[in-house]
Amino acid sequence: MTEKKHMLVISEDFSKFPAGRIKADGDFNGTRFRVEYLVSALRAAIADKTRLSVSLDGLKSCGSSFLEEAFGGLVRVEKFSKSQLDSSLRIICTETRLQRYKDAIERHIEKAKPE
Amino acid sequence: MEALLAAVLGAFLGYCTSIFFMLKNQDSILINEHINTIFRIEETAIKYWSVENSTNLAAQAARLDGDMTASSFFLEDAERLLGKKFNEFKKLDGELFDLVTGESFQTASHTANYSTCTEIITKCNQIRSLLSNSRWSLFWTR
Repeated sequence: MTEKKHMLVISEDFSKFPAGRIKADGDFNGTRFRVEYLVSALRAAIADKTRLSVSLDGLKSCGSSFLEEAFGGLVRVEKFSKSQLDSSLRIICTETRLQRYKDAIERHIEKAKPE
Repeated sequence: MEALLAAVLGAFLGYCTSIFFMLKNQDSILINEHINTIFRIEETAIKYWSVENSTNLAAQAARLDGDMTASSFFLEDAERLLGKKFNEFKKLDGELFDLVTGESFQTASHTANYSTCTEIITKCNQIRSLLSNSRWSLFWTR
C-alpha cells in the first residue's frame, strides 16, 4: 500500500474553517476531526507500516485551540506516544503562510502529556 | 568628452541609487503595514480576552481570527525582509498565535483571562520592536 493512499487534506475532507474544541463549539471542531478522521486514518497507516500525511493546504483559517485539540489530543486523549507520531504522522503544507499552523501542531504534540 | 562621460556615469549612478532606495522603501512599507497589523491584533485580542459572556463574542473571535490570518501573509516576505532576525520573529509569531487563538478561543466555554492579555501586550511589543529594528537594518547591514 502506498503512502499516498494514507492522506488527509483538512480543507477538502473536513473544513476550510475548522474551529473550536468540542461539539458545543460547532460542527467542525477539533475533537470531531480527531475522533472521526485522524485516529482511524493514523491507525490504518500504522497497520500498513507507513505514514499518514495530513495536508494543511487550502485552509482559510484555523485557531491554535482547534490544532491543540486535534493533534495535541492524539497524545493527551488517544494515548499515542510522541515517538509513534514522529514515525507515523507527517504534516505537509506548500503555502508559506500555513507554516504557522504546521509549527503549532509540532509544538502541541511536543507539549502534550497523556491525561 | 571626459566631462560628458562623467556626467553620463553620474546620472547612471544616481539612477541606480534611486532604484535601490525605492526598493528598500517598498520593503519598509511592508514592515510598517505588519506593525499596524500587530497593533490591530493587540487591540482586538485584549477586548476578546478581557470580556466574558459578551453578546458579540463570536463576532470578536471572527475579527480576531481574520486579523491573525491576514497577518500570516507577511510570512511570505518575512525571511527576505528580516534576514538574521527571521528565526526570532518566527518564534515570537508562533507564541503570539498560541496566545491569541489558543486555550478557549472560539469555544462555547470561553472565559476572560487577564494574564493572557498581559502576555499578548508583551508579545506584540516584542514583535513591533523587532520589526522596527529590522526596518532600520534594511538600509544598512543585516
